[in-house]
Amino acid sequence: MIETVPAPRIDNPLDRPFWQATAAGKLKIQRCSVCESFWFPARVACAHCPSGELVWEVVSGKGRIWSYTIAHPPLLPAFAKYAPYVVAVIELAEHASLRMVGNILPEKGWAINAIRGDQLAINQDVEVDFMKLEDNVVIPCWRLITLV
Amino acid sequence: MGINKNFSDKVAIVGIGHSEFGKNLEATELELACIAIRAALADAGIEASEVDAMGSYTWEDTPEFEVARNLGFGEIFSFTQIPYGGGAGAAAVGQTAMSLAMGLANVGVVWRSRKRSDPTKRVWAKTSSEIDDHWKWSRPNGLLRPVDEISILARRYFHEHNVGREALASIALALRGYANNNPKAGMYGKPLSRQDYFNSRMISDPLCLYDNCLETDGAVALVLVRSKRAQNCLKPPVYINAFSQGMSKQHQLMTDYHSENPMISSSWSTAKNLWRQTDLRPEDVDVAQLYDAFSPLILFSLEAYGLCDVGEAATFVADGGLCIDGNLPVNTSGGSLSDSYIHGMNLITEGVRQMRGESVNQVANASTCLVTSCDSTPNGALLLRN
Repeated sequence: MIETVPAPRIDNPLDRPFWQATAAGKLKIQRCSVCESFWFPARVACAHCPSGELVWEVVSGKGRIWSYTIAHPPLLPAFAKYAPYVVAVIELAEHASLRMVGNILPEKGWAINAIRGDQLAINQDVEVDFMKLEDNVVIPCWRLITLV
Repeated sequence: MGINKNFSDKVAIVGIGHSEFGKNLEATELELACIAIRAALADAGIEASEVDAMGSYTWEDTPEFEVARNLGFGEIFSFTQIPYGGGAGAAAVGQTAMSLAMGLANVGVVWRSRKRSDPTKRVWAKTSSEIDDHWKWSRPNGLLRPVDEISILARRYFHEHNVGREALASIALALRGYANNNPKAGMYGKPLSRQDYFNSRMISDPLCLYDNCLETDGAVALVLVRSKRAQNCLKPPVYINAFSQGMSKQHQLMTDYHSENPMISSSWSTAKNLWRQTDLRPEDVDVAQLYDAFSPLILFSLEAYGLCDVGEAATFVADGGLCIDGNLPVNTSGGSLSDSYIHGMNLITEGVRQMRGESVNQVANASTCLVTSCDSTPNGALLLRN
């Protein structure tokens, strides 16, 4: 079993712009230049219009909790020390079917277990933030706008 | 679209077999596979040398050539492996059956052998330090295990239908009830109370220990022939009345959160096409074996296959609907939660036992059985009849 947090590969040409954006503190999502549909995770082409070009667009970073789980052991060692911790699926404000998995932190730099399950509810508003896994590897996370 | 019923009842399951089930078995996966297949051929009364088609999972670690040369199969003219783990079982049978129906081959063997009880064999425990497939969007956040991925959907289901863990407790208890009457079940002799359920530890809240399947070593096999030949086998034929695979639009394996409505899983696609293959209707199903690596998958599958209305599955299970005297007995051996977990293949053999009248928890006069594969992956289903 690995000891580290599994990191996303950030140099795949398909989604490299996403990771370049997160490293710069921005959330970018692919959008079709023709039909304006958002796509996440990254796609090679728009499923609606094959001729459309997919452009990386900065989004508002606003969203709400679609669902979440609270993970308890057994877990990978890098996560076991934080258990129990919350992982959520966030619905982005731009579109209801634009969803991302992420941790919820009360403040920047806090640990992934700083929020307890009983402080959360589906549909709570959140705002994007970023957490650093390694040098150059920055993943989105989410801050509650108001605590329950 | 050009759907017809040409495949209906053309192929029958005529043999089933299994190795012993347990934890930390000494036999290798290849030995277990051979034991199960030999037993299935004996059950059918068919010689190993007649086998000319083979089907299994892409996750199966015993290759066709090893199985074939160890068991003395003849020349093989069709071999197929189905992807996506627990989504594969029904389709491994269905696609092998299609080879037979088309006359490509005559005798098919389908098997799954797995030594899963070793914790290091769990797929999530092998997560690599850098991820480039679709799991790069969830595992770095600690959404690591299948149970976490399903827990997200379970909580959303609770929210949308205003239900809670009581429903999952009813599922765990119903299946444990069957296992307590099945001497071969892993949980035979181990009763479970509602209080035990609610006192158990959380694994991925809202899912607790008893919402998770068992970890089992063992192998399961089935033998298929065309229906004409099936009349001359040792056991009564169990016909494949309908089969379909399914993958929903914009599906993502296990972390299926990015489609328009993630609660409409691949099972909805499979179900839509399955019911086009047959004149039988969901209300004709007498007994079902629904893939249950995690208890919420039963809620989702009941609704997807039209066995109850959307949002009604929790009430259905709370009313004892899954039990032997309920509206639709489900997972009558005890299922993956309380009998054993051979990646869903043992659900198909229990379906066959029900159609033969051989189950230890036999549903009286059952003539149709629905068997499904994993709700949260690309999947498949079989409608069996006697």
